[in-house]
Amino acid sequence: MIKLPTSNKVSYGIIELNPNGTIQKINTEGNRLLISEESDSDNLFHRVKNNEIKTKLHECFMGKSNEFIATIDTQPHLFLFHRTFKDQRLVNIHIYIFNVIHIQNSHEYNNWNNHLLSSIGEMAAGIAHEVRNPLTAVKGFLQLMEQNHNQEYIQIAKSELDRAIQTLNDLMSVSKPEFFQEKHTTFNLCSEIESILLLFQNQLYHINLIKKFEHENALITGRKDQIKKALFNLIKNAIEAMTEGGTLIIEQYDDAHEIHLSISDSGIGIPKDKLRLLGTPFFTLKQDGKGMGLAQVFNAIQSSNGKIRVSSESGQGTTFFLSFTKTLQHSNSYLGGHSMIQTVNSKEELSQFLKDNIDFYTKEWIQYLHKNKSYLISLIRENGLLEEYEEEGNPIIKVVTENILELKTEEIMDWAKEGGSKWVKTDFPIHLSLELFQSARGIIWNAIKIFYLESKHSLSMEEFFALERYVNDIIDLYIDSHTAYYVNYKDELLKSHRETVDELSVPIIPIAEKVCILPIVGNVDTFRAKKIREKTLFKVKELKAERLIIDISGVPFIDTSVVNHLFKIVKGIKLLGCSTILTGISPDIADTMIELGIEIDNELKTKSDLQQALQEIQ
Amino acid sequence: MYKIFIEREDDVYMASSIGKRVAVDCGLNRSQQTKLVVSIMELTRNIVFYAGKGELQINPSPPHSIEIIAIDKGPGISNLDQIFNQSFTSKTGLGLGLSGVKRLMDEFEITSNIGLGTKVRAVKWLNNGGNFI
Repeated sequence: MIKLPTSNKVSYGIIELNPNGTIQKINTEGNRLLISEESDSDNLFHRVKNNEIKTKLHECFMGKSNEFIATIDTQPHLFLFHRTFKDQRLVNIHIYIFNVIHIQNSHEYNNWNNHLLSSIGEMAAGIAHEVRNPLTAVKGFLQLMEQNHNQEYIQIAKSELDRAIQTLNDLMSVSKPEFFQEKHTTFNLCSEIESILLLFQNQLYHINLIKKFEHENALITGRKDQIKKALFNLIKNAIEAMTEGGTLIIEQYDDAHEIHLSISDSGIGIPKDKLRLLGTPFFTLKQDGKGMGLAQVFNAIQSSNGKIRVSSESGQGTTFFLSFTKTLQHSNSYLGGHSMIQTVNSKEELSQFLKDNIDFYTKEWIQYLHKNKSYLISLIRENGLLEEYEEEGNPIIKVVTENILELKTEEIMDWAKEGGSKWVKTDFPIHLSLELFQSARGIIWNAIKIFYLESKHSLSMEEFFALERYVNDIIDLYIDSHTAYYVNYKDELLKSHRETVDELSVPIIPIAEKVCILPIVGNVDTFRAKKIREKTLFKVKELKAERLIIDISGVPFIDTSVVNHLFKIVKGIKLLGCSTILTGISPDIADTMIELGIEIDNELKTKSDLQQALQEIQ
Repeated sequence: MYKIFIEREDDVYMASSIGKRVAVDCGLNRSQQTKLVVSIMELTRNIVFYAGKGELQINPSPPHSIEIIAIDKGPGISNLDQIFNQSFTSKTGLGLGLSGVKRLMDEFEITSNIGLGTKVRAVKWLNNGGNFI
């Protein structure tokens, strides 16, 4: 009934030698492992490529031993030396070469299969009984029918035969080896349990079986054959745990999300310290167990997204709790992929809808502006945007229309950048452009509402909100980018303005030959002080000035930092051969400077005002 | 009470203009206004140059006084005695700022912990330095 897979055949090397050591026959494996191509001699010892093996083979040949293990290609190989005698005369010698690892593997494989076979064999004896019963019944009915033809007998015979066939099918399904990964299917759990129980019919005579199926039509999704095999293993374990008889309880119940199944026996139980090892491959508590049964169970349940849990009390029995996610009857229509397609459809439709109606909604938008925000209308008219919008449509609606199907972030940003920097140049106030965008958003919402109504509510609530979020994301991305570029551009503009102002803020005015005036107005911070110094030095050189009058009456406050900057300027121009007169120090500033402890350099002349300074020069 | 966050040189001017307004509101004469404002500028400039950031509180409590408190979490001042006997040379100023503030104001106290920061509290009296003189 069960065939060994042919792929597992063990290859080995065999060499047949004459008593004198010449090769008579050699198979390909033997050739591959042992023989060197360099010589064409037919004497084995001239052809063996590995010196260690050659020595050991020679020892065998001399009769010192009959077997040895040597390594070929990093794998240990067993060499067996066998002499065949005929009439006490050596006829030929056979050398067998086995890969030790292969042998171990195949041993394990065979052992596993043997175990499976023996367990199936035990089952088969029981099942034969169960199959014989209906067949006997059928035979009886056939005999009856020989005497009198009765339709009812045919029915009974047919149903008995069905039972026998079913039993055999079930046996097949639990003993079928797994060569492929089974697909998930949806099936009825209770009826599968019923059919598995049929297989144990002969053992259930001395066991009390209690079935409580709360919901017989419960459907679960998973690898059906694997789960059947797992249930078979669990029931088999339960029955085997109760050699002296007992009660097997199989209970099925469900809650809101899951279908539960418990299989309890009143058998010997599992020691507490071994419980956590359950399901580990090769762990077994049975004398002749292989430790594969529960491993299969855990694997099968988990690979079908089920959960499994065990509780056991030594001497009291064991219970396995299984739970599976509930499969809804109409599950197929709710699979993810399907609703995805619908969303794409609704996006496509909305995109088309907006494209078709952009003129209409742009008009509605302009009307809305006329009615509620006339100042915006006059502003966009001044900027020549009104006409553009009337012709080409509202830019926000356009952005949304073109990005519903596929969000092209970079395109939106480019667009926003263009708009943002253009509006800066026309001095379009940012708060008004935000008002424009928000009004457009309102209009788009009207459009989506109409779209929803026209779709005759075929959009689900979820799809509708998904669309909402999506459309808002597009608009927000545009607004964010627009604002960012606008502010960015404004900043750049301010910066360049400041540079211009700074240029202008160092007005060195030549008033006479080699005499200049530098009036400083406003606060002097580090940046400005540096500018003033650079400019002044340059100008003094350029104008060949010998006297520079610095007037600080326009500086509101002089603190040590400002004085420091001034002193640096004075020292700098002194190096250029130009002396400085400082004017415009008010009494309160003078007072403060004294308190601060600032001492005026002797080199630096001071005058109270410009007039005095000019008189001094003349 | 005004609390100005000091981080850049612009904040120095922000603080000084608030100080100026408070001084005017409290009726200080021009000379005293200037002294208060310059004190604020010195303290806040120190924050920008040495501590990076900090805050200045301006606490007018007429008719008695205007209190200014500069707090930072900067490196602290290790050479306070040098600073007050004016043997300290600054890279960014004249090295007169703190000792100058002490002379410009009527009350002055400084607490500085190395690695933890500095707190300067200075007070301008209104009845003495104010309109009466």
